[in-house]
Amino acid sequence: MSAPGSGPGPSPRPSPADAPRDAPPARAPVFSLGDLSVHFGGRPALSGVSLDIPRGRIVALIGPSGCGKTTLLRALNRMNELIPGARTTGSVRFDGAELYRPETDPVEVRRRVGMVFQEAALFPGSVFDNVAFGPRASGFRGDLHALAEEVLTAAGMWADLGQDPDVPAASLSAGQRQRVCIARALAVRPQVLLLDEPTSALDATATARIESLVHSLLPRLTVVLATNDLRLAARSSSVTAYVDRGELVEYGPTETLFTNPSDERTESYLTGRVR
Amino acid sequence: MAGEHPMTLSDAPQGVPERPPGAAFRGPETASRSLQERLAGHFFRLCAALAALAAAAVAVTLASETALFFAQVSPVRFFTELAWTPVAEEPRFGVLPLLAATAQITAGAAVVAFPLGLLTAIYLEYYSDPRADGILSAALVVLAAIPTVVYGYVALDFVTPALRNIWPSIEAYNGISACLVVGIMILPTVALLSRSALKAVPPSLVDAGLALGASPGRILVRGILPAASRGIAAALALAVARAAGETMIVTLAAGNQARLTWSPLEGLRTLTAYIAQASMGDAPAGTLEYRALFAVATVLFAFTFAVHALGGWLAGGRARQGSVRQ
Amino acid sequence: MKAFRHQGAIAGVCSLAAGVTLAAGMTLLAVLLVQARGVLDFGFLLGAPSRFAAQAGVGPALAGTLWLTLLTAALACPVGVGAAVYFEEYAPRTRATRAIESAITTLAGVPPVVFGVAGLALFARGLGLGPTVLAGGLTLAMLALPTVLATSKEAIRQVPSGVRTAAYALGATRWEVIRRQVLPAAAPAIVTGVTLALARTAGAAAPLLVIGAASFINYAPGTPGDPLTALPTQVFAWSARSQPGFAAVAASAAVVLLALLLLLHLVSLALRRRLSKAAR
Repeated sequence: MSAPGSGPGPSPRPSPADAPRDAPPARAPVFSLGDLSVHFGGRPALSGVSLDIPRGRIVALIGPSGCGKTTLLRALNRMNELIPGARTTGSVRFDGAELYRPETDPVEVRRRVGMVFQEAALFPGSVFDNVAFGPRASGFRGDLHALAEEVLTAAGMWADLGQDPDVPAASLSAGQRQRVCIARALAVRPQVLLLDEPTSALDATATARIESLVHSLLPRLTVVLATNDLRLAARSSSVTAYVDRGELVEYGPTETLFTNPSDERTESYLTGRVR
Repeated sequence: MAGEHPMTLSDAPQGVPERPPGAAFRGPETASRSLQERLAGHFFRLCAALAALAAAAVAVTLASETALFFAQVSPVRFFTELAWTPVAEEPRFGVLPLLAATAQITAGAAVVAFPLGLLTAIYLEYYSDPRADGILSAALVVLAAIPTVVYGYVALDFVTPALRNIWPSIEAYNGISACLVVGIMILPTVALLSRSALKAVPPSLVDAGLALGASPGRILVRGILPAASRGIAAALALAVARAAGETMIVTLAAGNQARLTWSPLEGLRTLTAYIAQASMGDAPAGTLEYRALFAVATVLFAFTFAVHALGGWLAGGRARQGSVRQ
Repeated sequence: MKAFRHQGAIAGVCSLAAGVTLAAGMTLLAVLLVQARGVLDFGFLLGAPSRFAAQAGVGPALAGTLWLTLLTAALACPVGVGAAVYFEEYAPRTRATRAIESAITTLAGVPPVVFGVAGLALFARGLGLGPTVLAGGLTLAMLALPTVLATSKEAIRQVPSGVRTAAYALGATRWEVIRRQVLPAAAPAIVTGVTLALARTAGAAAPLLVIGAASFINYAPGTPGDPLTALPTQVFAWSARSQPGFAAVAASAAVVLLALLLLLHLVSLALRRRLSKAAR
């Protein structure tokens, strides 16, 4: 699993699993990470992470600010390479296929692995413009309005908009903007949704709405949620990873990790003790 | 676990081609998309190459003709001789009279523009009401937009005759008229850029001063101006570079006699005026006279470059975050 | 922040300076308008230059400046904006590209007359174009290019990086991100920069004088290969004449030039309004 396939460089050992094949069994993990490391300009941000992400669940990534949660998340849809000086080594398999191979099209990866960010950076224009951007970019030929209605309904925004997606995006509240961001990501029909601190700028009510929205996406979608909100992670995820200083410290069922952590670093983080 | 899909998203995506899981991440539209992608990339790279080529062409042309000039005229003579008579029977190429004239006009313009511009900026930022601010800012923008040849016309046809009322002995072409008008020409640069520098001073500095009971004058001199000094210096450097490179005002108002003089009432010839007047498109290529144009242009280039570099260094320190790109 | 309104001597001195600045601007415009009065009419706009002040007109010069501005825009805008996109969205952040970028933008501060000298050697002599409208247009395009590039780069930089990131995360390619998000968002500021550059070149006399603009072309240039004539150089030529009557003619030509620049700014303003409405 720890094939040292590297970022844009040639992959020394293409494995047979790279070949197209039938839909994987439901129990197979969506992502298998093997010895994944990311450096920014020579500085390590993530080192030697190996883990499997189960299908159709919510997986939470927790850890102190700057610990590498976001880098880990962005490694899953090849967003790190947009940052000049980023270098990724190790392997990330998505449905058994290696993401970091030179012939892999990162654009296609991002269409299958959607992402929503902390700050709801909506595009200028209407809500419809926002939702239509992704499908248009990926050559959607169907009825964009039907698609918009569908994903906005799924994101609980259709009623909020008074069934009118031509509302200017700038007029929405923070929570609504974030739900439009989720709808926008769903419109590309991803198999996985990566959420990077999606609720850290929101109040409790808006957070609750996002939370139930995310739950409604299961089990068709797999959700990876990076968050500083421990209660949110404990409530919503079935598996949790604790990341600290670029390393995966502990990974296991959420309940076990929160009630009976095996690593003392996890414990001190959860209890808020200063090490 | 993945059996039921209790969500609202329909299972058969309309319009989106089904993607086989585990395929090598190739979109169905990859071929035409990558063609567009490549064409766009080539176009932008071509544009950058053309821009770089244009810049290089300017630099290489100046450098090569200047090198040919200095092959015939020693740099020592160029910088030490006191006469510039390129078309005389025995031509002399001493750039000092031109350089001195440029320095004199620039200094004169600075004397006009620096205090006026800086005080105007202070007025705009700290004293004006919104209406006065609007009118004055608009006036500055209009002044900045007026072509310099129009300033030159005003210098020759209005300012010089007006000055004759004060100094009847003033020559038709003289330094002081050029100084005044070049000063007015760079005034918007000084005022608008100094104001930006003042704007960048945190308001808390003023509030703190007022809270301590300091007088506005004291806050201004001890607090605001030192805090904005780098930005103001950068503004002044830019204005100096513009004044030194100004051509049409000095050509029209200061005349075309290369001479060393301290009298502001006499005519003189700057680097720029020489270039504009000497060429007129018909200096025969390959002659020393033609190459002298490039030598003078190079001196001008070097001077303005140095002043700009100084200004950039003074204004620097506003580091930006690297942008996100692929 | 108008922190210290109406207080003491400093306020007085500053107000005085502001008044002088305003007066200088007003005087400038007043001189032009007073002088131009009586000359500026329809015949002046269409007529050709003449040895007699009373019969002089700016027709050919006006046509020349329109040609030059068109050529400059057609050459400098695509190259300048395209290069800005390359440097901001494509180019690797290496020392070499940064050096090239700063070398080009440094030229924005070089006096226009120096571009005239380069244009003389490169186009009028090097390409053998002579003092033609095309040689003038190419020279002015070189003059405009660094400004267009620098302002477009700045405009592209102002587009929030969150917009780019979000667009990439939705599976857009680089060209799609540029075409659908970056350029529309940056367009109003790019138009501002382009207008600034074009206004600067439309009013530039020095580079055209150096490559040999003539002041007695009595027919309007019909092709880029025709002899070079332009409003700013015409203002210069008439200003420099000492015969009575030409001062008024020069002032009138200057007023025509200013009106043309005003028109350029108004068109740009309307375009910006539309673009920013579309982007909102």
